[in-house]
Amino acid sequence: MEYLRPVWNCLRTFCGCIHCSEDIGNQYNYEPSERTYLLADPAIHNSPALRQTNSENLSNEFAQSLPRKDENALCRLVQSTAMNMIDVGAMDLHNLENEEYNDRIKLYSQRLQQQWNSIQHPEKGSSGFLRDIPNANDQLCVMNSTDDLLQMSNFLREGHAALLNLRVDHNEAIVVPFRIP
Amino acid sequence: MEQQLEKALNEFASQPETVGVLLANRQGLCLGAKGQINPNVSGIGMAISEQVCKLEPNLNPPTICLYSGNKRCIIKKDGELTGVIYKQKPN
Repeated sequence: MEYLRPVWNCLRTFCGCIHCSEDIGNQYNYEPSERTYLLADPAIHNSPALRQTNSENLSNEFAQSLPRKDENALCRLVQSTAMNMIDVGAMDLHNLENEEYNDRIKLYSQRLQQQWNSIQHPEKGSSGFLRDIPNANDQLCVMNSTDDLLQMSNFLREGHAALLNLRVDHNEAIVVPFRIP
Repeated sequence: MEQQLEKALNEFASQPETVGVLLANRQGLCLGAKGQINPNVSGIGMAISEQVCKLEPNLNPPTICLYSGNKRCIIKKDGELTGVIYKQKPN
């Protein structure tokens, strides 16, 4: 806003024509929002002449020296600048009413939810090592059979006991067969 | 000489759902097998138990259960012995 004011002053100095003033006034009264682009045409913004424009200096330096043709060119330049400006001050968040603020929260939340729902989630499917097993939960319940664990424990205990009692029966043979039928 | 071992193998091989039992020593050699189990799996069973024990070396050897359809294989190492039991659910 501070930047626009000297530009506006410069405009009023140089633009005597009513047509020019009306156009600018109409453009200047546009409703700013966060969606307003700073520059519609990048070529205008990139112009070195525009970048170096300082309205106070313009009014002092070119008031008497500019011919009519240059005056119109400068007018158009300033006009396009004013059109492409964003009034940052008008977009201050403090100006938002509480109700409007809440409405925007709801609106953005809805949009976010819509976008989230439209995304393909690859990890939504079953994951893990057992994803190729149907009703894996039932299988896992069966797997944790305490009977199997108990049976194995008893089996190993009996095996140890049997090996401890393994004795070679001396029957005067040189070779003692073990588990050979 | 090995009657007690034979008796133990027979006893456990005849338990419900059990189709075969096997005992292997520390070298993976078969000490005894009974039922529908290949004695040649003794080395594999011992190797599996050895490898799984490396997951948690400070804990007691775990019981390993392998499932395939209605069959399951239970492997456990205990000291120098490794036991392998084949079980099958009746259809």
